[in-house]
Amino acid sequence: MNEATKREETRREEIEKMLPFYVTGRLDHADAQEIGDYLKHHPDVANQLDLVHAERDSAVAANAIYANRAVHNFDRVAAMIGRPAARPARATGRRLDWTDRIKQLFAMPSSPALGLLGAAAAIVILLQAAAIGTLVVAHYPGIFTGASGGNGAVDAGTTVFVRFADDATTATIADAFSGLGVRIVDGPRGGRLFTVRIGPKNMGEGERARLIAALKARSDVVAFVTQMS
Amino acid sequence: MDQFIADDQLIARVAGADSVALETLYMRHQKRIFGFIARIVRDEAVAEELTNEVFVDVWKHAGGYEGRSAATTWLLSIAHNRAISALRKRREEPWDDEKAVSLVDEADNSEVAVQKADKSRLLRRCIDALSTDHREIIDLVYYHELSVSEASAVLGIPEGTVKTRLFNARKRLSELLKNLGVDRGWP
Repeated sequence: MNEATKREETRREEIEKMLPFYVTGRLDHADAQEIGDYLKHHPDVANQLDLVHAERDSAVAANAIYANRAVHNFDRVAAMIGRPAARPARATGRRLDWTDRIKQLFAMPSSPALGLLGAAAAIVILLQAAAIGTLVVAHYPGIFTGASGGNGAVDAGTTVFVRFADDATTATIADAFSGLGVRIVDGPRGGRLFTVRIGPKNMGEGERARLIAALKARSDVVAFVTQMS
Repeated sequence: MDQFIADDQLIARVAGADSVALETLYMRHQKRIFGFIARIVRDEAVAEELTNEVFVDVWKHAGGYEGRSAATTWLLSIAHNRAISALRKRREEPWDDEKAVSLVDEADNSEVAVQKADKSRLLRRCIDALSTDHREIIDLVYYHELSVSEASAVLGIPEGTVKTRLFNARKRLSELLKNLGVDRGWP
């Protein structure tokens, strides 16, 4: 193997190592540009992007089983630090309606989904979040179904996790969801996932598959769908 | 408590023994931390207790937080240390690849598996069957969407090791899938 070939192989491996970060958008602009340029001239490496996307989607799905766990009680931590739980205003009185909570989550600039993103992506998500969290709740109540209480527990039914396309708008989400008769019941979670109720718990496998396929078909709105295990 | 206050400011308040700030941080981040730990220790009861301990650590060490990394990265690094420490205390071997392979193979032979489940479901199972180190880096990068430097900070390893570990994890996924009859054509 000559030096040039060795250099090219090393270069290729370096690029391959960065592909996951390229797909998740966690490279700085210069690195992303460099990899983008490389991929344009190396279609065999570019083909790996499909593998990386599949890995990411499966990792999200694997983690999603914990996304609907009820909020734990802070009392235990309070006892461990020797301080009684302070019960801030939002923790007293009525339990938070889930739409209140979702709006809080969306409104927090340091929410986990935003905190882990680069500035540009964060702006996109923030805009998306604002649209969904505020505008949709206010103007498209039909998109949402109140879940059972405010702890993030999802009401009985068949649910899937959905990540919206970055450029999804309030109107397109409303259009897609009203046409399919599905509702957001919770979110966002890690991985920017929303829980979407697609029907009753005992819905048939065929109907479930049809609705999931229909959601996937709305690629202008839905970037990713996975069934909850 | 202002619910829109930034995490950095909350941590500063926690350093000043403000338990309301700690509760706000807890409400904001505990699900992410719990899920991250649960994926490592594979025991929800243990993960819940460790999650509580993470926030006790935040209470004790908030004064040492310098804001050089995002608060989430800092919290995940504490969670990582707690989870790995718990695994060691249980004296359980980390999830080794051989065990992973046998589990996957026991579940289905390749032809049946491919028929029964689509590739994404198989891929998910293979991710779950990875070693702890490999599964953790996959989760951090793909699910928690950390950058190289953030993953480096969480795991306490050099950035080059982050990239190599993820690369090896991805290659291992290909091997596991191949054992199930799915050839990804890479590496």
